[in-house]
Amino acid sequence: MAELEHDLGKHPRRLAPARLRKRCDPKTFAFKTTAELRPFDGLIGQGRALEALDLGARIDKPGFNLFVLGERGTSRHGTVRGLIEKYAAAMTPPPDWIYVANFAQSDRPRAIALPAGRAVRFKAAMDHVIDELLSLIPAIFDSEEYQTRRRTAIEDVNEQQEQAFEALSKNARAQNIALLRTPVGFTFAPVAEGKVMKPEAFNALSEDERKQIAEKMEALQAELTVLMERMPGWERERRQRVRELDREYARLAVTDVMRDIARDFADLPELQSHIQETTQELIRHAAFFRLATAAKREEVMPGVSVADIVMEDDPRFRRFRVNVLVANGIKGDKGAPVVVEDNPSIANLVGRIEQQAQMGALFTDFTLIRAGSLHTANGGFLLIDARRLLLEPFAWEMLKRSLRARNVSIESPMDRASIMSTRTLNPDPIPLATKVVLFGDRQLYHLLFALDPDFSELFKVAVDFEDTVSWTDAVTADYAKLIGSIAQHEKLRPLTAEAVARTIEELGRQAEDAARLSLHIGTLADRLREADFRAAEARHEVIEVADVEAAIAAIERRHERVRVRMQEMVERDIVLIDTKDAKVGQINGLSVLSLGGYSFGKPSRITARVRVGTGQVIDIEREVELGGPFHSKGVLILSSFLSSRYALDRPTSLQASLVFEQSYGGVDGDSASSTELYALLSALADIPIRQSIAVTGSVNQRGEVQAIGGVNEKIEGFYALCRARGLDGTHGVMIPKANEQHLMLRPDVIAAVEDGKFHIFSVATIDEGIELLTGLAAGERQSDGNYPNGTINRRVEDRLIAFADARRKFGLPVREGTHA
Amino acid sequence: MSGSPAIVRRILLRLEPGRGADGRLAAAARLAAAFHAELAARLVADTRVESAMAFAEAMLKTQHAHTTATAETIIRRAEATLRRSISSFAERERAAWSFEVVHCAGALTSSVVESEDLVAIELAQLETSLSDLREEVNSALAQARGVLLFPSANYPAKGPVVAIVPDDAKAKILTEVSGRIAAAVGEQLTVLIHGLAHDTAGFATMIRTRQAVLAIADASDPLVEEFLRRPRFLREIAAPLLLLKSETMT
Repeated sequence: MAELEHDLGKHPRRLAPARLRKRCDPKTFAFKTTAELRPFDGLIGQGRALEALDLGARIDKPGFNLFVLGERGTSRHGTVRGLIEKYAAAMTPPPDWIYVANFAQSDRPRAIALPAGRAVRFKAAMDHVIDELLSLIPAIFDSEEYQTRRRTAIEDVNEQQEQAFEALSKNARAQNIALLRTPVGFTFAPVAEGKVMKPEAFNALSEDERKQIAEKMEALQAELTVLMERMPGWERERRQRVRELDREYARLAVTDVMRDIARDFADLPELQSHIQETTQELIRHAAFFRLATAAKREEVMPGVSVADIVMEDDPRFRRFRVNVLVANGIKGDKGAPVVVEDNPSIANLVGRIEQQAQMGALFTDFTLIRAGSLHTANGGFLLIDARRLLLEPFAWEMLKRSLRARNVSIESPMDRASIMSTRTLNPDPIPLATKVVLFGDRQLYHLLFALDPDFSELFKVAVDFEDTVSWTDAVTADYAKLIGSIAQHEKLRPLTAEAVARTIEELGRQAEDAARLSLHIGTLADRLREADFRAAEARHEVIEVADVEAAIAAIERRHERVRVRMQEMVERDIVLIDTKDAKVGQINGLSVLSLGGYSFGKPSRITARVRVGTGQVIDIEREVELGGPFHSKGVLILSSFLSSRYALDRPTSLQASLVFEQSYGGVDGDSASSTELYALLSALADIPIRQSIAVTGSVNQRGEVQAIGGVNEKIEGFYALCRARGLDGTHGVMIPKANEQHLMLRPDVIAAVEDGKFHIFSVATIDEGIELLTGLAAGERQSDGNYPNGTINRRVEDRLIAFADARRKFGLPVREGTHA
Repeated sequence: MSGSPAIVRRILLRLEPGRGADGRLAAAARLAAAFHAELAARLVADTRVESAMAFAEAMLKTQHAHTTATAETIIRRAEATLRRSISSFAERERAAWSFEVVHCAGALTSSVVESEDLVAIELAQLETSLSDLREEVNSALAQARGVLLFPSANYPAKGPVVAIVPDDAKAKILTEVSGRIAAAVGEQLTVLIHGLAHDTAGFATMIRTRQAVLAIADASDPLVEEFLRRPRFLREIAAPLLLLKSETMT
């Protein structure tokens, strides 16, 4: 164990402080503060996304809707919306849409498109027409001229009727028969000497006379019957004449009032057709206007037209209303609409048909059709959060159906779910030319792509926002401008060049990569706001490095409660973590915990125990179902490494157990697989491992140590514990060599490394790692097939051979391979 | 009528069963009160109708035979209803009134009509025998001071009294009499002069547009003859038409 006394500060695997963090040199900036910079209106590192967006926004083909994917905080929404608005501004304003009554089929309201801005004018014109007619029609029908003609029309028929009766009466009188009106109708009676004959006088007549009279009366009765049969005809004729007269006068009024509207909208053939139908309908139902009582007029409030009241209350008048579903350009808006739907329920998307309670019953008509965002965004862009959309019942299916059919049909969710089926409207579908832009994360995009066959047909353009960008000088310069622009836009203090450099370095830390910078612009902006707050508190004119660091430290402090508590438990030896001496089969692994967007490294004790067995490496975490699949995979890999490297000519007769001590939550990921292997090798070789060095890294079957995530947090987590216990130059973290490029450590960690109190080592293989941890050589298999004596590998192999021999001695069945 | 309207002793209102009478009862009661005259309502049991119904039922066995209501029954029912209405309207106008059932063969007989009466006759909505109407009017004119024709219409409660005056020497007298009547009923007098060549229909419309409570004409005016020949003009007037005999005006 003398090797353990080596000066770790000079160990060949030790990384120099300069390699532990990439620096952004403020001297490369040609400004003192960001106030000197021009605003930056570009987008850093999103060339691919912009190209896709450009295609998706401009191509006018079915299915080229967009799915904007990327991590939250990358300013996808704001950026895409801003760019989409620019595209939209250059587009022709789409038409307005109105719903009007279908006079032939009242349950199928008609949808009509009008050039942008004209729907509201048409509605106002129609309201004016009704208002006019409400005055004009009663006036015309009250006029002396109309009343006289009406009476004349009726009296003409009356006179025909009177003349017919007079002729019959005359004829009867000529034959000495009287036509008399009795309370029960007309009847004939014989007359003698100017008086109606009594029955007894009639009976006193001779039979011939009676017969003659009876025949005459019978003939007259036949004539009377004919007359009576003509009565309904005269009544019909009276009504018909009045009806024709009414239509004539109604036509006069209606055509006069409709003339202007027909002229003003003469360029719109479909609307012309509706105007003509409305004209005919108004003429046909002019009586409605005559019945609009004076009481209605008395109800009128100042500024409210009679039409408003009558058309609101009376369904007969509502038929003449215009429901402006979509009105574009009413406030001088130019270009196509851009609509953000924050609540993408089915009703908010495709519209709804409202109902009104009247006399205890629900009713609806075309005036109660309400637009959805697909309508209001028609001809432009509709921006929706995909997750919210999918959470709304039926909304996703309805959106797809609308996009597939390229029209919007209003459908009640109740009907769709067959919960309630009432007689309702079936409005004309409206042709759809909306470009839908969905926002979601990558996982959602890929899930939809894999599970919904319609998705790839309908959302052909993936706008994939990068999370990070290569850290080049050009990008650094752009970032400086962007930081300046954010400060300006948010009315923050300008930043010094040093503060900008420090902020950019933090973006590198956020990207967990010394070669890349985070594109989480939202997080950057938040950080700048907080730095500005700190600068204000410190009465700084500009945001200085100290302000940026104060903000970073404050953010860290706000989130580190759990980390501090966990570390406290270690410091109080409640959770057992050794940070000095050396132990057999025991090692400090490192894991990362993420809570509420804050990640930190946490040391864990991993132990290994070995004995003769049937070739099993028991992963205790998995046995108790605390280990995830990736962790199990790592254990299987290290098992495979063992069985394929040592005692190849013997069956594996090892029974080993691996455990994360005092771990009561789930463990996943394979970043501890190399650590577990070191513990196992230590146990097999019976060689102690330095407890002052924590280890991270995964391993493959060839014993190569592979990169892991969260390297900075892991190092800093172990550093924090060691610093609390007192750094003495023996402490450090061993990381995979592949992770060197990700190092963006905190300045205080780097300072400790510079002082030789803390060390970062990188290894590429298990052999390199075990040598560092044990101070012994790993050893390479020699030409005789054996490892050199005294090496770790030799001791491991010897131990495994001994296990196999022992197993043979007991005559136990031997199982090939390993099992975890 | 030459002096005070009070010389009209009665307004003899002929009523028939089965016809609504409220409109003319109200108008007649108002006039009766204005003239300080009695509203003498007479429900006519037309003997011709009784005979005809009996004849029809007994001799011809026509479709009317199965009707259960006899003429007498109908009269009795109408009598009870009308008595209530008459008393109500007359009392409202504070007019003296009487009511009887009389038996006549068509027109009111001389036993019913007195020389100082105004005989009020209701016109049907549609006249089925113009000769009967003319005969009834002529008979009444022969026996009484004048005839009050009630065309089937809703009469205005307020409005002028319109004098229908021919363009001749009689105009002055009729205008004077009409003026007195207008004063009696408390309304303005409007004088409408017609020439011989006047369009009858247009003139009737002109009267209607005045919305008169009463129109007054000389019974011998050829225009009246034209009105009686074509009852549509009487309906067009839409006001009670008082026909006065020339001799009673002088």
